[in-house]
Amino acid sequence: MHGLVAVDLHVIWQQVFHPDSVFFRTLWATVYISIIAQTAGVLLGLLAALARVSRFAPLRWISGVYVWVFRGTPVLVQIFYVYFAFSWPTLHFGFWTVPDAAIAGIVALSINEGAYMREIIRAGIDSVDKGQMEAAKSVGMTYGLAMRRIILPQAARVIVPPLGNEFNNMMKTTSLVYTIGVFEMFAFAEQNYSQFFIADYFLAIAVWYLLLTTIWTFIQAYIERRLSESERGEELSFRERVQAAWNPMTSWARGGGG
Amino acid sequence: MKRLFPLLALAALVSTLAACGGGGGSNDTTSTQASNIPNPIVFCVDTTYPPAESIVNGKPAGYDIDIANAIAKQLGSTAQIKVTGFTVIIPALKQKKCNAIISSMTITPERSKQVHFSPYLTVGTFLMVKKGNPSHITTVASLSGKSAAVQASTTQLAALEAENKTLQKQGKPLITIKSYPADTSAAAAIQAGKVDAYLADATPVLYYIRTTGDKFQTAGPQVGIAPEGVATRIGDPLGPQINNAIQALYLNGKMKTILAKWKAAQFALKNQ
Amino acid sequence: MSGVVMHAEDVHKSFGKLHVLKGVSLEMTKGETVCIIGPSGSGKTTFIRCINHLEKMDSGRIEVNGHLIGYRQRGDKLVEDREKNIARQRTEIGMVFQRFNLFPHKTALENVIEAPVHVLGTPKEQAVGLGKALLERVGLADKFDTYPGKLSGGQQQRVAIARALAMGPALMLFDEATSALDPEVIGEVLSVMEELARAGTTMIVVTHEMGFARKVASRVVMMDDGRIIEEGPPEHFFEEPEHERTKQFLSKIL
Repeated sequence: MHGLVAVDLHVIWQQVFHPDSVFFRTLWATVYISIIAQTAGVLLGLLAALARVSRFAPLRWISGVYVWVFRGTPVLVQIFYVYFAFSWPTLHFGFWTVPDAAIAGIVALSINEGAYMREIIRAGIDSVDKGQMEAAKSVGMTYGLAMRRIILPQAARVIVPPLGNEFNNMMKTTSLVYTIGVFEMFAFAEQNYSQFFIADYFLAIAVWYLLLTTIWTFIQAYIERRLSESERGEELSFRERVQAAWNPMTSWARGGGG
Repeated sequence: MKRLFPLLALAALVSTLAACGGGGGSNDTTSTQASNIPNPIVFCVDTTYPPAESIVNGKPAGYDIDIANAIAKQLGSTAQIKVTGFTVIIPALKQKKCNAIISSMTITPERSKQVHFSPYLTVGTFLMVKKGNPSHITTVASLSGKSAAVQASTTQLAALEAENKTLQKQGKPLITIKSYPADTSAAAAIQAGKVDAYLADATPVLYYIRTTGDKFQTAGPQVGIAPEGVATRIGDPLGPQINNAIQALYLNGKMKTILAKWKAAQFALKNQ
Repeated sequence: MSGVVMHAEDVHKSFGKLHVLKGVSLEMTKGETVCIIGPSGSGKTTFIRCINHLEKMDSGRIEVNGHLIGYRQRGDKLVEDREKNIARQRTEIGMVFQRFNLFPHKTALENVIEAPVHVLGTPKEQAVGLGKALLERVGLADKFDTYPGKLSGGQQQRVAIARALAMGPALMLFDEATSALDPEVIGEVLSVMEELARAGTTMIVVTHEMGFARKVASRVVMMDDGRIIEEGPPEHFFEEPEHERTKQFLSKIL
């Protein structure tokens, strides 16, 4: 028995309820990296999904290789490779500086996420009845117009639950970019730990991660409710949707990571 | 039941051993050693710092590894290397995940408050820049407005942060500090052209300059020359025992042999 | 050639090894209602899906309102046309599907005005006016803002008819429009179709509803095994069929 490590309530209280500006910088880093990487990942995944069903064979092939490589290699390897193999600029937006490592991290996370989103989006598109595309075409819509106005809006309903889980994971996965020197929440905790030797810093940022992912659960439930308003049948209330998003069993069944 | 019994006995034996073994924090006494020396002595090492410690062919290797083995042998024991990140290496020692740290650790007043040091080498800091020194770097102060890569939790990072405080007071542009949990990432950063300078102990700097052909050079003199020490928990009798072992290794020449093998002879402890 | 709305010549279509259409030719003039009947597998649905190029024919020629459908003339060969052109050709042809295929995320009115607004560029107010008029015409004046999920099958199919009509097509295609409906609501859809026919809509109706065919068709066409084996006005067709297979088929279902 190595003995129970005494929980330093003071540190936890401090970090969770009265965090300082340094901590907020790292919290902001975690948030903006997650949001940008997930959004870009969805767009990449959409492109890859459309490429997958293209009549143009090289596009199908590229999409296949892309997903195979980026789902088959560790995201940490991808982060390192993207950062060190290419040079990235540091961007300044007034008070907000985005260091080159953060940009590299966002790029790597986006490309990685796109590979997973492709399958989710493809499943979403496939879930739409084939008759919908036929009806859209029969009134004179092109494939692109039909996709935009008829297919994708319906696919969205199937895509949002697993997408929600992906974003949940993304917020936690961003912690990996500390290895290329991005000062985000985990780096903050580690730095404080190595100085003050109190492991509760990790506990404190765990609370903050939990806060972020919980807020997202509510947002996800809201989005799902709005999307299903026009659907007859299983009209879950807002509360039921939040519970459903929480329950690992149903989220697994919906194809999410839980 | 007959077949089950040996299995149960084996399970009981294994779980007892596991409960007692832990991470090397326990004192295992065997008859042939001096009192209280653990066997094996577990050393925490951050293997991102060649030639002192790095991973070669999948295993930790370097002069710190050889020195750890020599110290253990000198004490009648054996050494076990536990790879640990440098940013959490002192907490790991304090939490008894190892018996000692041997990881190119410079002895500083702050660190001495946390651990006991047995000095064994004298090493300073070098700045490493591109060959030809295009950014004309001479000292840490000359890094103002430029970028530098270091490993997190090192004296080099502390030096850069201190310099930035001074530069801020002087109203001069700050140094853009890129710090990484692994020193190899900091070295990779300068090799990828992401920073103007890399700061680390003279040992890895000279190693990188030597092994990357003609691409890099040092800038300015070696600074902050100070002893490096093997760290142990304050109050742990192993500390003074390691002091003795190191002294013995210098006297019998084994230390110099190890250092010469790794081309680090110049870093022998002064006054030995 | 004036008055010819649809002209199909020697249409062949195979699905893999299965030769489904074996040289189908048909011509329709304005205002005609042609009912196509026949056993399943005879190629009826495949044929009308070739008319709006939802299926690609292997050989043959189809023209609607004088426009070649699905293909371009290149020298003496026919080459598949560009997607944009095909989409435009389809605006002249309305289709009603067996399973309605309404857009579930849009209300009835939105379903109807979707294509006029986004394909033809009709201003929204104008399209709404047109859409409401069409929905009234099919008897759904109180369902403008109802979603398909809350409509019965018969109501959905009537919205589908309004949606197809909203594009002002020269030709309407009905692909077994009542086959998926409960018996009680078949009648309401058939009466809408009858009203359209009497108003002079040029329409092809693939159907099993012989009563409808007899009452409303200007011409009945019998297909079997990929070919048209008999056609004629309903009085003649149902009273004095000539072909053996027609007689067999009619005797089974009448």
